Amino acid sequence: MGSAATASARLRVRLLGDLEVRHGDGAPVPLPPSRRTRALLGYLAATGTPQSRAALCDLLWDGPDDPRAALRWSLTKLRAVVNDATIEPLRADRERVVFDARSCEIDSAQVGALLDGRALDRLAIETLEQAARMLQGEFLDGLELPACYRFHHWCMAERERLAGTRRATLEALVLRLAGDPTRALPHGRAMVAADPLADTAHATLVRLLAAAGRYPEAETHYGWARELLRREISLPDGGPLDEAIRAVRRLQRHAAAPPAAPEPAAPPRAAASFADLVRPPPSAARTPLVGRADECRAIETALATTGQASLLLLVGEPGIGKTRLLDHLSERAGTLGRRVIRARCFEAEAVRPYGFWLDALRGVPTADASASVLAQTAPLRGGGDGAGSREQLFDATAELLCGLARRQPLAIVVDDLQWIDAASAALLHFAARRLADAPMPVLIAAAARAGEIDDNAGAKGLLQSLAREGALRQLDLRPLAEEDVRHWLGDRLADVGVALRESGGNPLLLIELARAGGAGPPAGARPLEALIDDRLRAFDDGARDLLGWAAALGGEFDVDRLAAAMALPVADVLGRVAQFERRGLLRATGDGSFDFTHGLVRQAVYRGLSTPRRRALHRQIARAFDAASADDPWLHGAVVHHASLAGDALLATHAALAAGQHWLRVFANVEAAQMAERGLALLDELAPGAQRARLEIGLLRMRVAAASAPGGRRLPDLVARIAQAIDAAQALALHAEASAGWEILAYWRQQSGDAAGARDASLAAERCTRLADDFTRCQQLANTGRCLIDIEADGERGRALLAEAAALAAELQLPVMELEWGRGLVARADGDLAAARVALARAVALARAASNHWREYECMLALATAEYELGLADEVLQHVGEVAAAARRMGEPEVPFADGLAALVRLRRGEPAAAAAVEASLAALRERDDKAHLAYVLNEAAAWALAAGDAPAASRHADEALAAATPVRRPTQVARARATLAAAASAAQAATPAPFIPPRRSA
Amino acid sequence: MSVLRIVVERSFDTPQSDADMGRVADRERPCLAAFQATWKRSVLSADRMRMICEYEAADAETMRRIQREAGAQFDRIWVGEVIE
Repeated sequence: MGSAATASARLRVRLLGDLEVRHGDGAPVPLPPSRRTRALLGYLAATGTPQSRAALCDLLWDGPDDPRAALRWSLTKLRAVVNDATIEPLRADRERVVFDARSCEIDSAQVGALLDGRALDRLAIETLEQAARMLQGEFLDGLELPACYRFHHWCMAERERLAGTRRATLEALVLRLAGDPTRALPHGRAMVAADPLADTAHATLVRLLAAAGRYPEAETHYGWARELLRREISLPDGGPLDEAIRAVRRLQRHAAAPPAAPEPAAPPRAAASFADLVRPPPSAARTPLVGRADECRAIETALATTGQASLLLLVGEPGIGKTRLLDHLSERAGTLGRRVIRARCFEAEAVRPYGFWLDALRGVPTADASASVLAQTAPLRGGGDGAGSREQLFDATAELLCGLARRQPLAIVVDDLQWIDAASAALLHFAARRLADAPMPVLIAAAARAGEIDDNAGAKGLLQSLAREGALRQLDLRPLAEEDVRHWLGDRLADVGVALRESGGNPLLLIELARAGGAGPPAGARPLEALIDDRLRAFDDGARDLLGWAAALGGEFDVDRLAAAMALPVADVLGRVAQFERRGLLRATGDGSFDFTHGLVRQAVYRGLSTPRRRALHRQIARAFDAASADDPWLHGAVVHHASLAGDALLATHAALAAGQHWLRVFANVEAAQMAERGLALLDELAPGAQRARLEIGLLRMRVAAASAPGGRRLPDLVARIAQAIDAAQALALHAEASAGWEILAYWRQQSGDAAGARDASLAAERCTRLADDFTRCQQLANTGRCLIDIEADGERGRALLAEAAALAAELQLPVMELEWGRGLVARADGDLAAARVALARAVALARAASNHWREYECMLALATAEYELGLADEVLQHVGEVAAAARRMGEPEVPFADGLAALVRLRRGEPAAAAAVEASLAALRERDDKAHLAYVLNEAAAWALAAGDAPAASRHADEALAAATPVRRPTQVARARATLAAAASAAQAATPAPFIPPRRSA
Repeated sequence: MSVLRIVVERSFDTPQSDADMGRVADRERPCLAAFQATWKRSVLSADRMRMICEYEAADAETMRRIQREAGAQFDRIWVGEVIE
């Protein structure tokens, strides 16, 4: 289809920059003015593959106009641009459009061909320079078309890709031209032009300028760039740009200093070359392994050992380098062909039993594991109920690890062992014993803070047991020596000796001192924390806010969870986290999780939060975790932790119950018992009532269950508390809970050898269960009957249901609030207001005891109405006040019907402002759209007006009452309104004089 | 011809799952029948923490009674006119 063009007649299309088309060496061809048409050309040329007409219509003409016609018109215009007598790159049939790029030179394709997917460091410098020149323009500059969202997103993606290619090409050029800074300089400027807000680009240019002998320009550019970045992105101090200028200044000082006396042979430092300047400075995330020769030898020895599974324990103060050594061990183990299973432990406040194993087993290959092993270890690998017993869970986990050790040697790495939970320690101990017989060598390596192991019974027991078996080797990490510090950070510390004294040879503190330019901490302050505080002060409030959230989360955090807690898009949070990662404050830990580079940094951030801010953060986090805990029950422990710190005792107690129940299912009995006790302590902060009673019974049951399980401790004396909880539940008619309480007591008495007492308690439990079922049924019958009578829907059926409920309640000998309420309404309907009053007062008392505010409010309102109809004015006014209080507890600010009753009472008393008060309550009832109560008050007002001889007013009120009562089907109010209307009409007629009818004349 | 609706506005502390909303609907159904009210439709926010429900009922107070009988959480109830 068409002949290939000659070289001189080739179509040249420029996509990198303003879109441009030339035929051979000719002038640019005028393009159609339509941006969509130009965008179409750019799309076809860039993709180079056939496109359906329908897809092109969707891409650029997705709207109510005729897209196919628009496409046809655009293709007509484009053919005139790109096709000529010799070539026809643009062709189309009824269904497809194709741009044949073989007959063209398209710059973006040429760049791709130049780079050809190869590593940039293998390409010739000239090739890189050519590619960099071609990549100068922005892809389809000016043709973003935001209104055409499909095209827009494709264009943005291509731009991002090509921008990345440009950055990589320029970086490669700068490195390759390290020995020729003058030639590299234009590329450094191009880096800055390509990404003016990237501090690394400015840092490179500063170094290039200095290396090219243009130090004053380096200073000028640094000042300009520093101000730009501070203004545009609030860039804090201490980043690559600042480090670049410090390095440049140091070289300038050395160059200006008089020659020093000859020194004895010292380890040669590389001459300050551009390569040195270009190489990025050390950060906390890539700290070299300095001065640990003995430890490295011990690690090599441990990795070479083929005997029984042993534990290599690294002990030292915070920041001494334990985690860095574990990193080295993990890397070496991987290099030597071992599978590494690694995780860390977190502080015990956020209890998560099996926490170490939940993280360590994530992503472990399971292809060789049997179905039963997979099923029984499911709770530790992401879901399922798993094993039937703790022994089965432990056996299956050990078998899973043994399976891995059959294929290759294994290394299990535990960081922060001092925080290991009891369940994880027990499982680790079990696994260590089983792995002693593994076919391939197994090494367990752990790091722990000096002096904190003894506080953790599980960790202490594990280490003592391994020590007795001769399977423990402990290494105490020492501070770094001066020569090691000098070799590592000598060029970044003003005085190595001073830095060593200030830091005590602690690597973390040395890094912070180096960041601070070698200057020491303020006098009198704790050195490391002061340095960290200084760094944090450099960030703006928004940046510190994210750090605050991360610190409140308390440990390793998942970006999705952090974003959910902060109610921000994940992309936004990820961007901020990446910024802190570059600053060495956060580090990636894998699987989308991050953590502070050191626990001390997290503590410093947390310390900087005010108490109210901390509580607010913890509250939000607790709520976000609570919502997520439905899918991940391991989060319940975290909810307890955060809700407790937020002061939300109710949420914390609910979560404690849920956490303990989940942990019992996975046999973490010690933790379940601890959580039960924690929950029981939190109950003291809750108000008495049904909720507290239910929680107490649940927590007591959990506590007893945890003690009775294998590994459980001796049960504390809870008899008195259980008995009190039973009484509270029974008083609130919570029969199911009371039954559970009796069961706990029965078990307790059985354990104590009191067989008779156990039997009595069991019988009481059974009685409560029956009561619970019958009581619930009685409540339901009474509730339905009451409702039917209240809304005048089916009075006969309502009465029948209430009678059935009354019979059941008599058998049970229990008061039922809905039954009393219903009795009150029936009595009122029958005109026995005195009996109604008695029953409704009982209903109010029962509703109050159950803390049921809504029922209390409704019963109180019904009681006030009955008293109004009885003419008990003082009682009405008193109860109206109580109605208002009950309504406020319900969250209702207004009670217009109660106000109406009070106004009617005052009207009867002849109080002066009563009429206005009645009108006000009517207005409020209309506003609230409460037609039933509106009809009642209107009918009362109509009757009053009629009695006062004001028939027109009576008619008006009765008319409106009828209109209100009819849609809500209140036959009583409808009947009253009609009666009043009739009476008012009659009264009006009686008041009107009869017309004079003259007598008929006789004929 | 205008159509009146009773609008129930709800907000929640945590996102509502389908199961959460189903439980409330189950409790609400018999109350709607008893009061001869009808659910028309609901709109749930993308974060599942806010909801607007539209009903046909005799008046707004009827809907308040139904919500309280069913133990359904709500912030405000008002009468509105559908404009389409």
